[in-house]
Amino acid sequence: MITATDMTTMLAQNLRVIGLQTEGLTHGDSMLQLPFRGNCLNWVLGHMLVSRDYMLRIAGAETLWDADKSAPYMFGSEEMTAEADAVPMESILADLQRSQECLAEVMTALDDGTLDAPFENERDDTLRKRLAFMTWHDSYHTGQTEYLRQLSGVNDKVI
Amino acid sequence: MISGAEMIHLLARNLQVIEAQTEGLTHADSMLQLPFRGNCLNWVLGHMLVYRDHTLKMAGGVPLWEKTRALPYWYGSEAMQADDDSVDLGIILADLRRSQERLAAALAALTEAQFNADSCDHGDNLRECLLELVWHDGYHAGQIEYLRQLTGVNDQVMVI
Repeated sequence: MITATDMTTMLAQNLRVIGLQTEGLTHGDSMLQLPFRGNCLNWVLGHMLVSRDYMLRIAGAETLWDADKSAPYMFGSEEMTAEADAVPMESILADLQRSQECLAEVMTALDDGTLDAPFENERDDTLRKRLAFMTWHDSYHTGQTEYLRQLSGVNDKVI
Repeated sequence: MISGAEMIHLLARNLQVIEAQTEGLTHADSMLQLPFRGNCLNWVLGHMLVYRDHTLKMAGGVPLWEKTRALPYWYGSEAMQADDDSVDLGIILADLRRSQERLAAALAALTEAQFNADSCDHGDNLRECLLELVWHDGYHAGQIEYLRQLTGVNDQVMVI
């Protein structure tokens, strides 16, 4: 069975990629819009933070962001085009680092009984499966940051 | 530690994403170029197939593509812009489905001892190497969402 350590290792790998793909970018770069349907880098990073907060919550810990701060980054939120809704990118990146530390601590403290307890969700029936899905979700969006870096015109290859 | 069945499940989810995100697209759509640095849909899908082949080999299975066909899709290959280098989109998709079946069989057949053997160069054991490759598959699956939208469909085909 996938362990909490397996999951936090993958989350750490995603965070490492995020660090590389955002290196040298500004908050303004993170608000650049794709020339086709799709959210900007700021939204993707904030969405990852909000999703990591969800993992913290279902693992029994406090979240980093409150509901108001999270709302613009939730699934199904309006496309983020106005600066007014956006959290500064540097703040999101710092919070992603903090979330990694919190998740590593909280998830590895969960015992098998807790991880395999029934979890009510339309997709997953145990906490372990739900956390594994969210870990996959984190990797999915990490891949998108590669293109969103290039949208800023850097024209490089960082990983 | 993650099991072969869980790896198969993750790969199957990525294939579901691929199926949804390529629904209704043509080979020509898959060759459309991004207006910034980054490879096209055809390359990303072929690249995923080539890495699944690599995963298959590590798990003791037989890869689907020969070296010549795989070459334009390897990491570090030239940006794919010309049709002459590319495999038809329909063929790549069919082969991704076949790769899922082969991977499911190969990963399910691995013993715990094989998973824990020190037999690869990227990780402490085969399990860690395979997990890295499964992660890679999910990473590129996320990019397909944008490459679908590059064609101008302007839709939302899945809830993630």
